[in-house]
Amino acid sequence: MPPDDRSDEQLVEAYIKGDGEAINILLKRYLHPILSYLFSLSFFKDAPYLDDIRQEVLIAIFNGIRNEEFESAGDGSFKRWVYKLTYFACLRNDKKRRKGLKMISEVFPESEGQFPDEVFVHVTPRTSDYETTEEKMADVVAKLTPDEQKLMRLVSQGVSGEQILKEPEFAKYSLDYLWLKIYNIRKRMRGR
Amino acid sequence: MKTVKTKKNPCEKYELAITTYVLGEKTFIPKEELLEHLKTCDKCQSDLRNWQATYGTMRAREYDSRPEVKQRSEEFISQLTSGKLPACKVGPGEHIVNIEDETGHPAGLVWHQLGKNGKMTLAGLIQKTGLDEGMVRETLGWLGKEKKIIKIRNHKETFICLTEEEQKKADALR
Repeated sequence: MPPDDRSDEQLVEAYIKGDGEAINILLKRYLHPILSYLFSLSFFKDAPYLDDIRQEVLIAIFNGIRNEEFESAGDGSFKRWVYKLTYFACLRNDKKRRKGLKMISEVFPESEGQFPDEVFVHVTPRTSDYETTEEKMADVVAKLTPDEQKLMRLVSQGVSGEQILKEPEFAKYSLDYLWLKIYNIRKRMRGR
Repeated sequence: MKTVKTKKNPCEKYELAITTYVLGEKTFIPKEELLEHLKTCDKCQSDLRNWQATYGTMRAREYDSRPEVKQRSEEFISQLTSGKLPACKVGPGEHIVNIEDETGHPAGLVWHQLGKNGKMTLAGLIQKTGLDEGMVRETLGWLGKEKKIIKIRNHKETFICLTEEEQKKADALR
């Protein structure tokens, strides 16, 4: 099926006027962006946990539209509303999950020290940071060497540095060199 | 063993630390130093946001590319928008039971015993199937809704038997 070129706000309006399919299109459109945002925000980079939060956000979006909690304020307002719902769902769930955790190594085995009081870092991603990320990534990844592509694939799977060094292609690297490789690739993604 | 060689850049050590910080790995410098620097450096704040967004997108893209995840998500949306999700919140450690899976199989056991033995009491079904009373009652509701069984009651007891049509099917299987 070709992608629907109606804006988010137009789809909301269409759903309210009785087009049942419009809400499916809208929710599917945000499946991936919500999870991307959650991976950036959450202290726990744990896919099934974040997938559960995503479902919670989808329910909130659906109920919010039905209960007319979302009021369109022009193009882009729906997106802002969705990210706001995602942000608070993430905050709520992370707070719940971190209760009882004392050491950071319970979440990240490679890290040391007490679990931080603040789950969120001082700088949280802006939604505008996502606008071009996918595009830039595809462009840069296509130009990487096969080893670099494998490295980024392992990083995407959440594999730790220590584990990556066990792969034959990276066995000759030191951990510092591995981080430098990733650092250089991400600089290319950023288009510096 | 290869070593790290980098060009001079006043923020480079922080950018390297940001790389590992987002990945949840040990940073080259103390985390407190990195967070302190981030408070005042716009360039590094922007770098952190950018890497968080990139890393988040990479992780989500990898996870969402799995066919089972894609299917589950689409099914979830379809159930949500068609009103088939529970009206109550499903808490942590709880899961939605597939009623068809959970009751369908025991209902088959009850059906086979009725086919084999004819008219039976509830106690007889419990004994022959090895199911608990609650489950047998649940399967009777299920089979009754599907119009596969008949209840016969006298002044003392209630019996259950298959309908004539179902009994013929059961006989054909033997």
